[in-house]
Parts: sequence; structure tokens; C-alpha cells
Amino acid sequence: MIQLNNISKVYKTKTIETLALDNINLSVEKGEFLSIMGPSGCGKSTLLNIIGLLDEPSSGMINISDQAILEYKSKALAKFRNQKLGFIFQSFHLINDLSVIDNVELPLIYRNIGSSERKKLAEEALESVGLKNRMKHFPSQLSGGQKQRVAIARAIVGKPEIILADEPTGNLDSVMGGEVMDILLKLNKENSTTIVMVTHDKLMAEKTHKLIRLFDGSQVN
Amino acid sequence: MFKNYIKLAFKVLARRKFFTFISLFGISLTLMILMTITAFIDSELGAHPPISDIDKMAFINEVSKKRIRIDSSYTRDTTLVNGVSKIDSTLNVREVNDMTSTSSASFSVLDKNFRKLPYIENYSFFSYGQVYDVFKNNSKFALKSIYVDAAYWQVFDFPFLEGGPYSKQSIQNQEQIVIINKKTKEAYFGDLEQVLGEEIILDGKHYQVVGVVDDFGNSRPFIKSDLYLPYTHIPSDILNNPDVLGSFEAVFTLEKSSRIKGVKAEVKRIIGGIPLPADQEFNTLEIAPLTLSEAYSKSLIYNEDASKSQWYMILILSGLLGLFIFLPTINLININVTRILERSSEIGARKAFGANRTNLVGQFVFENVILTLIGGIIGLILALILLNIINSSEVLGDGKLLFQGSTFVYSFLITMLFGIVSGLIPAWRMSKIHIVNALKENVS
Repeated sequence: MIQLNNISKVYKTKTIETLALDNINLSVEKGEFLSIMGPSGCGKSTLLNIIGLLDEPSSGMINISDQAILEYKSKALAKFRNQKLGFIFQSFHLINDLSVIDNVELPLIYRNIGSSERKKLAEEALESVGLKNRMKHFPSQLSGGQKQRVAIARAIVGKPEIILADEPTGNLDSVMGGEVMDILLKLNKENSTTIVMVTHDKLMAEKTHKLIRLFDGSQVN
Repeated sequence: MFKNYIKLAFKVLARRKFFTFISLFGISLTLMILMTITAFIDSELGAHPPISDIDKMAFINEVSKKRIRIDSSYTRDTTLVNGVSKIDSTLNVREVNDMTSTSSASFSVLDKNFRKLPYIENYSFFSYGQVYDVFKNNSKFALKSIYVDAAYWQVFDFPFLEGGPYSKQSIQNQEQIVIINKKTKEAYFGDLEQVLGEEIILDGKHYQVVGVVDDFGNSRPFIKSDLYLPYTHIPSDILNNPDVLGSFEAVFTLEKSSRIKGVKAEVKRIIGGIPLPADQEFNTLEIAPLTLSEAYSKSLIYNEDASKSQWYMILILSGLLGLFIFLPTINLININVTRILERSSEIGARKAFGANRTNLVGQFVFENVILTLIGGIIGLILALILLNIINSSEVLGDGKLLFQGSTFVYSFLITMLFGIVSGLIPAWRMSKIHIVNALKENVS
């Protein structure tokens, strides 16, 4: 499903070069739930951003669904992200000016799906995370856990093959974090959605199928 | 998608009240000024009654007599050749104009020479008359007059409220008749509803009202008058004055606007054969038919060559309009950059979920166009209020600024251009933000 070969990422400034990822090789099978752990600044989010096509590696190859993604132009990449990937961010990144249901509809807007169909799909997604009763609320009216569940609904509404979650429980207390993790596990189990999750939480990571650790940009066993 | 954009646009505007106020203030004020300027230009130079055929009109409103003589002078250059001073003289010969007399044309010069111009559908000769002091209902008021022929009412399509133009026969019979404007009707006859057949006393003479023309915006003196009298009331010694200068002007309706060059050439040919009075020292006559915009420009920015006056006028007007549009646009661009920067998290999220650059640019431009349209509506209301104030205060004298359909169309186009340009540049800049950086900027 996801194949990374010799991925490196170097951040360059005028005076200094920082090696954020060093020769990462990774394979994630369809339906697999992979977690990435490591200390702060070790390159976890950079790796997730590269897998999610939000950032480009300095060198290496990425294949997602057997497609050599790095050859894509930006418009094609946007389309690919829209159809194949779903994102869950630590700080939610919901649009405060839009209601919950409008936020969830976001990926469908860029698929040119009609408004009634979008609404139906968004309601289903919100129902699956237990927030259908809050669909007319605004993000500012929700708790952290509820916001993250809205973010999950937004990530799954387009039924993507892969979900990329960057510390989805990082801003939540243990109860809310547990609830969010249960939703992700259920998604993975029932829909065979491939999930790649960055986390600091060992307990969460242990619930996933596979765990990789990074240290100073390198993969360690 | 547009429903979503509209919803978001109004949300964003409501949330950022200060930015919205500053933006709307700038947009509406700018558009108010632009609409007022457009209304002014449209009122003065637009094709509306009584000058609906403006594009086909040519005017002879100025005649110049000149004394041109040959002037010669020597230029002396002193140079050193092999250490010896050598003087080199050059004789310069040129024409100089040392005396000019300019005025309107005499009736006789127009009558004898310009009744059979080619490419002409119709023409009229008219003369500015005196200002009559009129006493009525214990008050005195001044009425401007113009002496016209029968064709004047065909060349110009005056909007008549009552009656109609007088005939050629009435003019030849020197009938004591007059056409008045609405303002004069109200001032002289008060509340009287129908004034046809009523009399106006001018310098002790009684004139019967045969028509009343409605108000119109244009302030050009050849159409704006309180009284329109048959030109045959002008004393015969003035009509028969043999000089080329006088008080008359001519207007011609061309077959089509492009014929102006041909008419100009023909007039140039004709004036070569017009004799100048022998008792005067002038030896050159200049008469040039002008389009209305050339005549208008020449009256504001004088240059012997009316096309240059027109060119300077266009440059000045374009510069002013450009400044009025350019400066607020720059300002709005800056405000928009700040406004959009605050939404980097949204930009990041949208990009992550599949928005491409075109989607984002479209969204932000759309939002800006909505903002500009709201500003445009406020600007329109302010412009209507301002036009009303200008008209009622009569600061433009006889001129009236009328808000016509064309003014609205121009204003709407300017508004849209304003909205698109001031939204496009910041939107394009912001859409280039890298997703990862956008997501790092702020959180929701």
C-alpha cells in the first residue's frame, strides 16, 4: 500500500544543513495500522508529512497504491490527496468559521459532489464518531475530544484508503484520547483502512499492528 | 461549492469586523467618487438627449483671424579655426503670428460658406443671446437666452414636456414665440400646470410660449438655456455683419462619425477662398470643425490643436481615475494579505484535503468580490446621495449629474475589476504557502 525507499529529508539554510530523515525504508500493507514513535524533533511528523504528500523528500522513492507519487504535478497531487488520503492533526485544524457539518464536508467539496449528497455523507461520518447531534455547532462550541472526532469525521468522509494521524491524542486527556483511539481502531478493523499514526503514547502505539521508532532522523529497531 | 464560499465569505466578514469596516469604508468611498466622476463625464459627454447623436456631431464654435508674416533672423556662431576667430552666419526664415483675433463666427460667414458641406445630414446655426432680467411676482431673476433656427430642434432631440419645436415658417415670419425650460416655467409661472400659449415679457416684448423642455444633465451652453428664441429676432445689422467674427456657432450632424476627417478637410479647403475684410491687417483665417469631446477639451485645456487638448484631457482623466482606483486597490491588497495570512491554518487544511491553487485563489477572490459588491452597493447609495446634494446645491451651475444606466454599468465593471484585482494578488500569494508551513502558523 505504502512503500518508502531510501527517503531522506534535508532542511537547508544559507549556513546550515539539517538532516531530518536519513535513508528511511518502510512498507505498510493494506489494512495495516502503523505507529511511529520517537522523541521530539526526531523526524516523525516530517516522515508523516512525506507519506501524506504534504512535503517532498530530498531523495528517495515513494509508492502509494502502486503509483510513483513523486512524479505527480501539484494539481494531480492535490487530487490524489483528496481521493486517497485522510488527515488527522494534533491541533485539529478545523475551520472556525464553518459549522461542524460544513467542516466535515470539506474534502467532498473538492470532488465536486452535489450539496445534498455531501450532506448525507457528512452526516454518516459524524454519526460514526457519535457527533451527529452537534453537526450545526461551531468548533468553538466543542471540547477538544469532540473537535478531534469532527476531524476524524472529516478524514473519513471521503472513504480514503489511508488515514494519516499526527499525534491525534496529543492534545487530549486520557479518557478523550482513549475514545479517539477506539474510533481509529474500529475504522481500521471494520473498514480495513490503512492508518499511519505518529504518537508519543506507548500505550496507544502498542494497540497498533506495527511500531517503528525514529531517532535523529534514522529508523531504529 | 459557491454556496459554501458565500457562507464562508459572510462568516469571515462578520468575524473580522474591523477589517471589514476598513475595507468597506475604502471601497465604498472610492466607488462613490468614481461613480460621481463617471456620472459627470457621462452627463457631459454621454449620448443622451438632447445630444443623442453625439458621435456624429461636429461643431464650428471658434473662428480665428491671424496676421502671419515672414520673419528672418541671423544666427552667428564664432569658432576658432587654426587659432583664428571665424564668424559663421546662418539666415533663419520662419512664419510668425503676431496678431490674432478669435471669437465665434458671424452669421454671414456660416450662411455663405457652410450650408452645403459634404457628408452632412443636417446642420443648425445658433447664437448665444443676452441674459434677460425678468420681474415676476415681486422678484427678479435672470434668464439666459439662445437664438436658434428650425433645424436646431432636429439636430438636438430635446425632451419636450409641453408643446414642441417651432417651424421654419414661424421663424421666417419672425413670430414672437419662445421655448422655455422647466426651471423657467416653474420660476415664471409658478404652479401653473399648462403654460402653452402663455406669455413671457422680455425687455417689454411679449413672447408666446410654444414649448417647454425638460431638465437634462449636460451643461453645454449650446443646449442649456432658459429661453430658446428664433434667430430672426436678432437685429439685421448683426445678421448681415460682413466680418467673419460674430456670435454664431454651427453644429453639423455627420452621415457617420468617421466623416469628421472629410468635413475638416473640406472646411480647410473652403476657408482658403473666404476673403478677409480688406480694411483689417489679418491675412489668415482658421476655422476647424471639432467633435464635442475636442471642443470640450479645448475649452478646459487650451491648445490651438484641439486633438492635443483632447489627448491631454484623456491623459489627465485617466491619471486621476487610475489614482483613484490604484491607491485603494493597493491598500485593499495589503489588508487582504493580512486578513488571509490569519487563515493559514484553513489554507493548510484545505490543501491537505485536496484544494489546489485554483480552488484557493477562486475562493479568496470570490470572498473579495462579495466584499467589494457590498462596498459597491454602499458606494452606490452614497453616490446617489452625493449626486442629489451636488444637484440641489447647484455647484455645477446649470449642469446636473444624472445617474444613468450606463453609469451603473461602468460602476459595476469598475467594482468587479476592483474586487478581482485586490483579491487576486493576495490570494495568489497565499495559495503558494507550503502546506506544512501553513499548518504550523496557527491552530484552531
